[in-house]
Amino acid sequence: MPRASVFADALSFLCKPCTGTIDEYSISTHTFMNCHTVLSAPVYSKASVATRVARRTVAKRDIVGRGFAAIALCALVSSSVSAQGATRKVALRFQAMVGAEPFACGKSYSGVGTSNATITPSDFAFYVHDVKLLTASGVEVPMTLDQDGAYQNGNVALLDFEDGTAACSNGNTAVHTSVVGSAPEGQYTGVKFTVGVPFDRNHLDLATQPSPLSLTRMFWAWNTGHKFVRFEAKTAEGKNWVMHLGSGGCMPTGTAVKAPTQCTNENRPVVTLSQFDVDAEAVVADVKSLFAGNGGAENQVCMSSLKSASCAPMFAALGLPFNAPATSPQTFLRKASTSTALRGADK
Amino acid sequence: MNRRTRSLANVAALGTAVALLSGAAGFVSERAASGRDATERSPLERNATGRDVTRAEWVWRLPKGFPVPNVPDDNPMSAEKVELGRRLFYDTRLSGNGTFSCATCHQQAHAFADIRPRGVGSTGEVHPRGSMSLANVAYSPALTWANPNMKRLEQQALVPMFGEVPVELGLSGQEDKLLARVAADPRYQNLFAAAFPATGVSADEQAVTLDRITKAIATFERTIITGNSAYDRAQHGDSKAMSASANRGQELFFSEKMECFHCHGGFNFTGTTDYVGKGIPEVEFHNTGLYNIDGKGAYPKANPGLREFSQRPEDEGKFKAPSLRNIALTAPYMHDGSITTLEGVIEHYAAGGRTILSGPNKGVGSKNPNRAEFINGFAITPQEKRDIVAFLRSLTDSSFIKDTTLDNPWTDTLKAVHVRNRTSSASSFLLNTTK
Repeated sequence: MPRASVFADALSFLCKPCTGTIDEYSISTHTFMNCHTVLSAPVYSKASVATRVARRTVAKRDIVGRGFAAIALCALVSSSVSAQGATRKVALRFQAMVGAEPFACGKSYSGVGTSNATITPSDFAFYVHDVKLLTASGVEVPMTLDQDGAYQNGNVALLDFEDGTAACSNGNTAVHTSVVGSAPEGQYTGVKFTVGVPFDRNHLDLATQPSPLSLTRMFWAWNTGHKFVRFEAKTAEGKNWVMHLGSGGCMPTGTAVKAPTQCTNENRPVVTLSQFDVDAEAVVADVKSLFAGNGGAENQVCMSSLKSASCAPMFAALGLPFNAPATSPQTFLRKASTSTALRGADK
Repeated sequence: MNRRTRSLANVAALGTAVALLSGAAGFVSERAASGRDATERSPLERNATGRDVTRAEWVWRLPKGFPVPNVPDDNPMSAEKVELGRRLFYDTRLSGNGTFSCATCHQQAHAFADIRPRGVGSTGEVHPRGSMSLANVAYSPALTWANPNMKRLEQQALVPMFGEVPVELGLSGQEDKLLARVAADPRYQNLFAAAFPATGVSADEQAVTLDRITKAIATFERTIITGNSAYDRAQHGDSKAMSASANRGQELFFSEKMECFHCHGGFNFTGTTDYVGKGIPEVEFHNTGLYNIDGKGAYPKANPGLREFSQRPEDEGKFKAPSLRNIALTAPYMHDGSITTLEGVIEHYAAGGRTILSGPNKGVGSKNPNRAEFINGFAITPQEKRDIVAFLRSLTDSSFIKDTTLDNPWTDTLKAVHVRNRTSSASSFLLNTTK
């Protein structure tokens, strides 16, 4: 290998953004850029999130201070010897809606579903992973997520819209409505991401997982996986409208100790929004669209079973196969122009 | 409290607790009363003296002829962890409303199963299936009735704790409250420190974590071992241990006529067994023709069995054959408690499946297409039926249900709460079994 190439490779390694967590101990002993894909220490719920984030922030300042020289070196050299340019902050914003109205715990929304139900939500959260920004020519550029020790870990983020108020009393006050991270500077015209938790991180022991994979209300203990989407509401008539999306048909192979090893129904919707300005627009997660095909006098409860009649229209709204290939794209997530008010509200 | 501050609090509290001799006296006397090997040292003694922290090598107390259970590499056995797990197992603070513990549905008097046909959770929600016995669970490579993915006790413990459909212990979303409750008890600060000794790398090591809770509970559960029944004594040479009727029943049990042993074979009377040196763990799920609602093999919707996971129609109605040890203590029977007596179970197998004449579950089980190959029915005389029941009763280990190393270690008000709830929570089923 030519010497220049070796040098470029070394720099590329040194300067590549950490897709996991930078080890604090390593930082303090000047072993710079020791990058871990997962946090070793679990965080247990949103109650401790604020403190945790504050701690991380302090650590980050430390990193910046101590690593300044190295970063400067990277920035200086990489521009001339590698394709890797400067990075920019990205905040992919999500807005929970029920039709045209913003989602709020305990608020009642009318005209939902085929029987125009009035529903009062009590929970709403979902995971996304593998976020990519799209260039005009269709190149997919992975976004590197900030590792906040709470809502984002590796390439997985939990979007959490319930704030613990009113009917959401089982939840916590903290919310997380943007996937925050960075990407190379560039012209982006779209975004692509996958709803849910990646398979290789979905079926591990909850008790040893870092946040947000450690949150028990998003864990599907019985299926040894996570609830990818969790939405719960009651109708005015007292019926439950519930969507818990997760993988189904999960089985071990042979005598494998770690289980399961495969799932026949992955249930991970891939969402692509073209003509999407990540700086000016938000992704709308629309509960009304999710339940557009549900209704009637019975509970509408879907636990992702392919035998559940309630699931059929919800899976259609998510663009997922349901005992047959999906016939239309998902309608649950869409882009929406961002009003000034929304931009102001999003910190 | 975040993890770091909680751990620091624990370290501080540990020092305080060690100095509290009253607490120490209570703890030691409880252990003395437990009847354990006197050479075992309590965690408190070790911490108080500050002497060596070398952990005594774990020694299994196994019934004669029993193989050594498998233990996960990441959760080795220790007396200290067993003690912590036992406390947690019996602690009602491990439920969302403080009324239920693991032991509420896994009662020692019933071989760590429940006499209710189906479990009832801390909020009154009825489970689709009955609580399985934890007896000899250390030998089971597949836990629960029909979930092939549930292989580790550490992971299984999360289901009753955090499951929501149905609610069992009702802790979903309350992990912080749970950890705070446990960490606030000085006794637990001692127990956790002893069960998970610090190696001095970081202060976080002293923390009460969910991982440690499930590991400790699993460790205690692996000590729930039974193998001293009349049958076992007869196996080891006591010719008078079993009655003549039970001996005749044993022959029937192992006969090709009744075929019981095909699914309930081996030292633990179940085909789903694993242990050190077994080589290949065996996991089996069988359809016994209990239902056949649509003539195509359908079981009631709440319990599709293995099909819930595999989604294969041929797996409808397939459940694990439970161990038959202490089976006389765990009535009613089957995954849904739908057969009340051992005699009823034998009649079901004699008919090659259950016929239900009316109601929503109407159907001829003996024509269930998913039925196991061994469920073909057999002719049985009333005397033979009595004999086989006598044999099944000879599998009861009466010393096991009185084993003081497995009983409720709490001596204070917690125990009173526990007893009160066990007697009052099951509205439709009498529970008078608390000790």
